[in-house]
Amino acid sequence: MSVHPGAWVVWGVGAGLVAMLTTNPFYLLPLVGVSWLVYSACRVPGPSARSFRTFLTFAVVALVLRSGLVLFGTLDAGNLASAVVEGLRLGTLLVVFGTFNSVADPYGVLRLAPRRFYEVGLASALALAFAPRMIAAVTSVRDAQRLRGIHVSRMRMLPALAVPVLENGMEDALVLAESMDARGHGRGRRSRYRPLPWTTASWVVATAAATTLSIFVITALGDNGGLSPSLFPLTWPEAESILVASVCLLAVPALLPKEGSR
Amino acid sequence: MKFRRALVGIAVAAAWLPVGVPPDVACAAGAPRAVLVVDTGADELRFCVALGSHSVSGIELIKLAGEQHRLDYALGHGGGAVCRLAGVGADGGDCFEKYPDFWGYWRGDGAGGWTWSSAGAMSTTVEDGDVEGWSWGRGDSGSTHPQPPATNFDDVCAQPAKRPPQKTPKRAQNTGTRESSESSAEAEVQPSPIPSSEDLPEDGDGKGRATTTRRPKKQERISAAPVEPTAAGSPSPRAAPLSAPAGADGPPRSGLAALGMTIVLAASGVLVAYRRRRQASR
Repeated sequence: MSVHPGAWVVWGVGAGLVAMLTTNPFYLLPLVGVSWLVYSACRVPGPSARSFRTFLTFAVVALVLRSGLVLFGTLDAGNLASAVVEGLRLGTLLVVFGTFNSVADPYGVLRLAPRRFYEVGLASALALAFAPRMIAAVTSVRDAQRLRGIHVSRMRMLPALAVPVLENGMEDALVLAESMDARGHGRGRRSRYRPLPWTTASWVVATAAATTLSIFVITALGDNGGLSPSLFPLTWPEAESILVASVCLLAVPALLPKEGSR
Repeated sequence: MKFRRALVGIAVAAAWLPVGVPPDVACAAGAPRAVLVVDTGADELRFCVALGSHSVSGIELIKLAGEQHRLDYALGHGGGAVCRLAGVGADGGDCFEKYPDFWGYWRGDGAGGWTWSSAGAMSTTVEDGDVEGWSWGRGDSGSTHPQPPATNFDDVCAQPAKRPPQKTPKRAQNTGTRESSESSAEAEVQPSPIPSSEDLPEDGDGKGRATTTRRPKKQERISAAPVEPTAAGSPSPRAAPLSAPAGADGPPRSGLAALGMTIVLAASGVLVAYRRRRQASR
């Protein structure tokens, strides 16, 4: 059963906000695990799925950079822990975004935009698609050049990579613009071709994400349930089992029955 | 308007500085106020602090008490942690050099009682009528750390007509400024606890209602102080706050469960990915 892009939006927003609400590693780490599971179970084959790896790299870089910044201040356990935890939160957010990017088709998301905001939605969808397209272009150009015996490994060889990639990008943009024009985009008309059904699976995914998010929001508004544990003094944070369980609830999309062949 | 208030504030502060009379004006009804309780183990200091704005953070409340009542304080870790209050605590940049003794952060529950704050004092909001407490002692959680004395907002920030609250800030003002010099004297006296306890009455100017009952606690602290550095001193003292709680009790069981859950999720992710790849290649 396919999940409606709208349900994926709810999932992505839910998981992202949960990551932003807490600095407790005992909630963030399961969230990373959940994202990875959902990615591996639900990814749509194509360039956007490949972008997950890039986001994962960014996440690791963010974590390392944020932790490395401590070296410019006073170095002690509390400061280090706070930097690591902040980096972990940022990294988790990136992983969640990478997962969302690779499970939801960006053009499907675009089609959800209300008519009035269609152009805004179009622009943001194109922007979203930019990174995966770029990565795909770089990979294909590199492959092509490797076949010809050119190894782009040094700075001097960079133009050999950059020029075809840019050229590809221009061509892609032109093709996209032409095809959109041909389909009447930008004239306020919307395509009714292949409407996306809001399936039971979509309900399940959206409900699970909304439940998780509301549990976290209620906790954050209430007595704080260890969402931002004390770092001065540095102690082991507590993990509320209900919050850990609600993070695991976000893994529901991975448990849904798959379509026969994809 | 603001200007005039600032002028009044400066005038009040100027009038108060030489005489040592607490500014009850700062606690005038109407303006937002909060109570700050500082329990050093030997002394209990209670301040009625006028909040400059609608709400401030727990750290800002301490700074305001420093401005309005000359509470001696030192902050560390980028201004997010409390190193020293009323002369008690760490003097250097490391707020936890006296760990396991540290300044615990409590928040009034509105009924005179206290709840252990799970958030840092940088990220809490103090509003009109709130009660905030800091107590010196050991224990990493609300169940083990000593609680400050029960305090109601009205006990400290009573209407100006009432007399009692005046006493507390006055004591505070004396000890707050003198304690810092006393703490250095204390360091010299430390090896023999008897003279230091003899010091107390004259420094606590005799008026302290709780001083006598609580004095043993202070003695504990003084006698413990020279022992501690030798026990924890040989490795890097910086690492003490990290390793001490970790070595003492390790991550809680719930945290381990969360980590276990992470591993299970990641492993099933790997399994699913593997299966998909095999299916695709078939």
